[in-house]
Amino acid sequence: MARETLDDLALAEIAGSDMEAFGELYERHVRRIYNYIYYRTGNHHDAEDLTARVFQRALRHVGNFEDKGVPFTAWLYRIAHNLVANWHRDRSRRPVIPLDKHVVVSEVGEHPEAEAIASEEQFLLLEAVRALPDDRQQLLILKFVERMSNAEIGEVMGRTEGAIKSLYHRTLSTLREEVKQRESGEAAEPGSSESK
Amino acid sequence: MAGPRLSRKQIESLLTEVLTPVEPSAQFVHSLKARLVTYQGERPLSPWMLLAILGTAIVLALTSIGMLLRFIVGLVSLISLLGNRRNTNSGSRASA
Repeated sequence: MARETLDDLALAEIAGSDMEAFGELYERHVRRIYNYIYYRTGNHHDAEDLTARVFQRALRHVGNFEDKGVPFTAWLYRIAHNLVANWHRDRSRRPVIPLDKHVVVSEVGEHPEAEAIASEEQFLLLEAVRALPDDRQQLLILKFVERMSNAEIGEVMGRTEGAIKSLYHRTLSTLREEVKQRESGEAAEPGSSESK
Repeated sequence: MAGPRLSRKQIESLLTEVLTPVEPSAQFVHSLKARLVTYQGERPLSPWMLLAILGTAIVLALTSIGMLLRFIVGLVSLISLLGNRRNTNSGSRASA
């Protein structure tokens, strides 16, 4: 039977004893799990390390996976979320440099002044995103990086679609406030962003 | 640049620009799959497996040493037997 044609839940049922089935699940989900962890940790090195741990843990426990109406992706995100939470607990500071690079490198064009302002706004926004509580960061990553709908995000985060919609609105309001405050801070302390 | 507060649309637009998918390195993806699927787990050998392999190696080594000793003893016995037979033959020829 071709494993490529099976859906995630069918693959998960046999993945405990069939390594090729697990390999197929890995191919389908490794990039999105990596993306999620990358934006939660802020650097590729830790993203690779934690992604490897997510799939090692998934491999050990996939035999116990039960179809409870929740997609297999949600199960993987749950593992990733727990490992990232432990990672943050083990570290007192959150690394910032690689994401800043990501922003700066992405924009080069004909209007350097406008782009510099846009780049600074992006920088402040990323700082504000990283200051958000874990669940709100997760929501933004799933919505903007993974392009998931509110219903899909709800399945992953174990909440209703309405709760996700409400959380999203509150998150955007918080971000607007945060960016505004950070802009004010930047204006009061010129050059402070250069030292970061 | 303490301008007016960004609108909701502006924040969403900035988030779309900032939170873009990143691609893990192909080498990482392939090597992790090899580690997981080919070698089945984070360790190539479990401690019990290592112990079993070590035990088997010791038993095999002892067995092969025993076989070697038996072969040497057999060879020495054969040589001494042939030597005795030669001595006996030469002794009987001398007495005749």
